[in-house]
Amino acid sequence: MGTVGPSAAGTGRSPEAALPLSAAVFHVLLALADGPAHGYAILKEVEARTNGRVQLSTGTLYGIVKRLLEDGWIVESRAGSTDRRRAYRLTPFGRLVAQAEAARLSELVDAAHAKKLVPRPTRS
Amino acid sequence: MPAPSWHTRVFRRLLRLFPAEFRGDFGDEMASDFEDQRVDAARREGGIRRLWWRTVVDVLRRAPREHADVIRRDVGYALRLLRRNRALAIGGIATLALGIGLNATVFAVVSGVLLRDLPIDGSSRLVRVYEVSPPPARDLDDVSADNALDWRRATQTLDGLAFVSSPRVNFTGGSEPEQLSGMSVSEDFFHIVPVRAELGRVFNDSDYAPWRAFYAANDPHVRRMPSTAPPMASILLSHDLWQRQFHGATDVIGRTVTLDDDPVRVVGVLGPNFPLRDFRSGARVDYWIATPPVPSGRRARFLVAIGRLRADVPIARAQAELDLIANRLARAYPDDAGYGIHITPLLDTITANVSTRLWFLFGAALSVLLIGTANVAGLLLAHASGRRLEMATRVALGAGRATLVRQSVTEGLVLGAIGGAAGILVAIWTVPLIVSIAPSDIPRLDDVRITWAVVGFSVLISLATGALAGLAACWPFRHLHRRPALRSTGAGTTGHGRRLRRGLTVVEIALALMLSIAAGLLARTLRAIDAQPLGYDPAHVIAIDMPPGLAPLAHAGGLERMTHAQAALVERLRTVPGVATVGVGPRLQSSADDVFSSEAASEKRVVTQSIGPGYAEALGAVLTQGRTFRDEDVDGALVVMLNASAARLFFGSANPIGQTITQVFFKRKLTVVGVIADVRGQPEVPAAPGVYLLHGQPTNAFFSTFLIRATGDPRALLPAVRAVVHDVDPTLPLTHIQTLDDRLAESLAPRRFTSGLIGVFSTLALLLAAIGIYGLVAESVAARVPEIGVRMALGATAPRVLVMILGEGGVLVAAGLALGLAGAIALHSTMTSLVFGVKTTDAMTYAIVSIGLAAAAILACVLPARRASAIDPATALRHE
Repeated sequence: MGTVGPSAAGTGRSPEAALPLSAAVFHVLLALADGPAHGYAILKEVEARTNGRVQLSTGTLYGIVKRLLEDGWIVESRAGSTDRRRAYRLTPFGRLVAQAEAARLSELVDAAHAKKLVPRPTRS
Repeated sequence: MPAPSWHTRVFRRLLRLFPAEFRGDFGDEMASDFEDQRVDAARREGGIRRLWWRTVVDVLRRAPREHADVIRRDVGYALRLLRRNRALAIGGIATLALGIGLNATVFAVVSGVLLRDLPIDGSSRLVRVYEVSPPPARDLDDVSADNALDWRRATQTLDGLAFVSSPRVNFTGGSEPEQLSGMSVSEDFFHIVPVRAELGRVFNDSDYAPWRAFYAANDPHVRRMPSTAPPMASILLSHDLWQRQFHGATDVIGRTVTLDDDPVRVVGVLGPNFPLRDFRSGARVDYWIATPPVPSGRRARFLVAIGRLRADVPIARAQAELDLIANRLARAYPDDAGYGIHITPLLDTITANVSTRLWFLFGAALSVLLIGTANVAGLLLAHASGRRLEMATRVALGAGRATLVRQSVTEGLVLGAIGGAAGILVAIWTVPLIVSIAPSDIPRLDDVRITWAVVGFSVLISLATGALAGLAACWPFRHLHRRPALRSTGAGTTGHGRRLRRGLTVVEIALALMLSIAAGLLARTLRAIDAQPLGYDPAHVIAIDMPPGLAPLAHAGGLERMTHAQAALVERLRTVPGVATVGVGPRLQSSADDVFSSEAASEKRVVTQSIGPGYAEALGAVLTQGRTFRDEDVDGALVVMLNASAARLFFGSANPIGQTITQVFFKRKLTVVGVIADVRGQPEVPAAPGVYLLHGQPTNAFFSTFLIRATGDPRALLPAVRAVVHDVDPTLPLTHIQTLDDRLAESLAPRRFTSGLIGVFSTLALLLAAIGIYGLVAESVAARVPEIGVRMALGATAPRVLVMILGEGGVLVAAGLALGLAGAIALHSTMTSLVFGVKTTDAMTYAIVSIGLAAAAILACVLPARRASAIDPATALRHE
């Protein structure tokens, strides 16, 4: 994959610098939070988790995968790979980014709650 | 695994919209994911349809983004490369900026003068119509009013036909008397050329109807006996004249002014950008006058006819129709026997005299750019050779050939884009420069500027040259993926790259030689023209075009009084201190002729000029036999002078002095008193046989020029001359003043312009080619340091090394010269109309230029060759 050198993770970048993430990217990171998965599994997971509201197409998915690989948020994972398809897993840095995004969204929801835009807290 | 369904096969097709690299990385996974999605979707009602819809939309949205990503990365890579290699960046960009700037400039001229439509509605349908003289000459001729009126009545293909002539008049009634260049236009003119007046109105039928009534009442064939007074003509002023003579006053409309002695009424002012100039001289038009065509015999062919094709009528159909009309007229009227009609797009007729020259310049500029492109390709190639190891590594890591080509082309494109942008900046500076030095015979120079078309053209050639250079630079690596080159060691001077660079260098030298030969031929043309005998001495002479017939002096007095008035003025001018001689003669470009005969020769039509005493002396004509006219001749027997050609024509080798020739029309005999050498108005045009009549004996010329020969600088005389003329008659306009030197220079300006530009182009070409061969040899020397070290350690002397390296360059130079000579000979006929006094295959020019170019190229090789011969074997071997 051409110009991508060693993983960019851990080079002192701040995870917050990447925020906010697009919804699709965040969905992919969420799908990988449980462990390695290959592309089709990611598609299914996102679809199931959103009750079919979010249906990623392959073009979008692999566009995201390519960028996440280049940025070092995910890597190929031996575990879960078959001869037909590769599996991917979060790097520690990728996990930090996902956490940071989750925290950011959570703050927003808290704010919405305080303004009574949301009927009840979404987390305890 | 089962064979993929047709869905997946179609999906794989769809994936081709993604960049190859992306497809290589993810294509298989995407295909199997899609197959799984399809199996899933098949279980749901309409699922397949929805899946396809989503997928196609997604691919169409994502694919461009992936391509953009690739381009961004490649461009970033190329920019880093340029930042790290200053020499490559500066050399490449400067070369392209120069080449593209040059081409943008020439294209601005070509497009402004030759290509862009005239700024008139439907200008592509404007045509000029000529009469064609009978075979075998079949020359294009102007049009007689009688014929033109018949055409206008008969034509179905032309939507309007207008007739134009070009009066020159004295203008009074504004702030100062002035000599003007006018355009006399018939009824359809402003229908064909639909412009609006800036002030007042353009002509309409009310300006013509009184004239038609007048001509109906007075047979125009019987001149000067009108039974009723002629109506007052209407004129339009040019914007410039309006400003100059009336200071932009709006109440000028309806005012009466005087053209020669006739009162005319101003009905409007045309805007500053009226697109048409005088059809014959190309001069700016000062005023337009409404005149219906006056039938005055079918042989009186002096009108310019312009027309407008009906919409959707191709020009060939109009020509076919006019051919039929011409046949009918030729049968009906003896004066038209054999005459035809020719129709041609108006723009072509305006640009006819310059189009060859401009296209030639365009070709030359493109050649310079090609040489520059070869140089840039060479630079990139040298660089790529140095990166052979890197390339091989990348191929080993899986980069496909397409990736290498794409990156190399992107490097070229980035160089081209930067060079092109710089080139447009260069053109912004050079376009006004070239317009300011362009000779006045190039029409429409006002239209030459940097337009979007010029920018578009520049962008196009920038990208084309960039892509070409990039392609050339990766050419040697096209087999790299088949024959891994990781084994070969670094400093890349291996096979293919060098062979291609040598080929490019040969082409550069060939193109440079062709341009230099063109420059050489044009330079020899100028020298040949300079060497032509002019037959007169243009130094220290000032020429003042007098208004037609000095009319204000002659008021109602006719030619005789006018002649006396001229004589009186000449007398006064001779007394001005610093004046050597003064004479009255014809306009230099006048082309009057008449028929004469002698005892030895039958009737001959020859150029006939009417000159006053002193004219031959003022002109500095070379008297070869007899004497010139004297003041007292005017009242004596009829005398005549001949030029040498006329003397030969009428008297052969016999002495013509004292013999007579007969002016056939007037049946009168004139005695030859002198013969002068042929006088050439244009140095490259041999003089025709010419007869000089004596002014006032009893003929006279309506258009005349005063020649004043000064003892010193003729311009210093001007104030005194003006004072004398003003003293004689304050209403006399004194315009069109030039020294004969300036006139001569003006007639040569077009050639000097072309020749100068080709000279600049060929110098650039030579320089670029020299840089090209220098770079190649220098790099070869650098790469061969160890080898040369070994040779020297084994006993090769410095001179032998020098000769070896020079020999390497010499082979290229020889090949380039051979190719260039072949090219020059193949294309020599393109220069036929540009040269004079030298053949387009002139062996001497070819030889001298080839030797000069070879010398320059070898000199470019000497520098690196000396460096090679100065190599210290010990140091060189230690490097190894």
